[in-house]
Amino acid sequence: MTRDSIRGSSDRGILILTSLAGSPKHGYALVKDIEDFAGVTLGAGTLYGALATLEKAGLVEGLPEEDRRRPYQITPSGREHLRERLSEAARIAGIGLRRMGIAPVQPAPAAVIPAAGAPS
Amino acid sequence: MSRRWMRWLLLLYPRAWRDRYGREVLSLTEEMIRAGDASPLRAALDLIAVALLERARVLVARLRSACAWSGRTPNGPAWVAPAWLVIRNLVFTVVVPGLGGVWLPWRLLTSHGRLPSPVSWEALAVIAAGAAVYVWCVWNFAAVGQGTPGPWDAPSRVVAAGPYRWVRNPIYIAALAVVTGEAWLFGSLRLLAYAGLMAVFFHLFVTGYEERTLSRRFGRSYLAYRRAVPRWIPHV
Repeated sequence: MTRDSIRGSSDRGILILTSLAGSPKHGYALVKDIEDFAGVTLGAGTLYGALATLEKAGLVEGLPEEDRRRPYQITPSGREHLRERLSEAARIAGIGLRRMGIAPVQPAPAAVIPAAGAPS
Repeated sequence: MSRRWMRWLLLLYPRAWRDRYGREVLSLTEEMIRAGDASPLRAALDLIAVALLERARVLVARLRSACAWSGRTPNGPAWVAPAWLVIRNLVFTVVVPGLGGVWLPWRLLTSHGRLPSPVSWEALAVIAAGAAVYVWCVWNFAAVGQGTPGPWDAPSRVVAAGPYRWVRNPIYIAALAVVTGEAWLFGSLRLLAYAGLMAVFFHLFVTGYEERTLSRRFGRSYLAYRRAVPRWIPHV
């Protein structure tokens, strides 16, 4: 995934939802996880701006604070939204790759995806 | 070391946002600076940019609700709704064409002293024609679509009556006629240049904003209208 493909506020939302799809995370864990799988480091303001939008839309929710940090988790409607957006993106990616004569990328085996969780 | 300036930056955020997320965003900023994920400068710029965005969001929401308020039909006797429609259109006419077609040209003409004396009285006919077309358009917007020419309080349906049968943007044409007529009346090149700028702005606004918004809002009925009627120059 290139830097350009994840610009724009709705794509930030997708990055956050993707990260939370694995497990609930607090702010710093989210930043680190997104950095790992997408290669961008979101700023603190950017992250919370997008989180606030997602929370208002009912796609994520804040959990009670643990150790002075508040974890966020994806809601059922957040999962549904993510599923729709990702399938649509995958469909278009498939068409584009086929038209360029490139075989669609097979999904990576689950073991390769780094375990989501606390920051290192 | 960084706590104080971050608190100041937080004041840029809307109150509700700050109350809910302020503490969390501050501790994340500190954590990222400490861990070397972001320089203090980058963190500050990020906080400022998002604050402006959140402020703009609040402002847009407020404007939206104000427009919804002005466009709703008030309760009361049967004459209240038409009277409110007339008031909205009068306010629009005084504010928008009043500023752009009278006040600003007057400022441009008098910036070097007194108002110059008119040189070509026949230009009055052009100004009057422009004004008449404007009134005719406003009448149609109000009678057919119960709205005003303002994009924030627009008609509730596609208006294809009156001058809108021949061209899609008669109000802009009327405005250009009035200002060009004023330039001719006073023989003012500055006013003519102002009219030129207006024309460029109108074209960009119509193609870049209005046509997109209208096709999103009215869909098929607007697209059919757009196919049938030209944007600027009427079919002869």
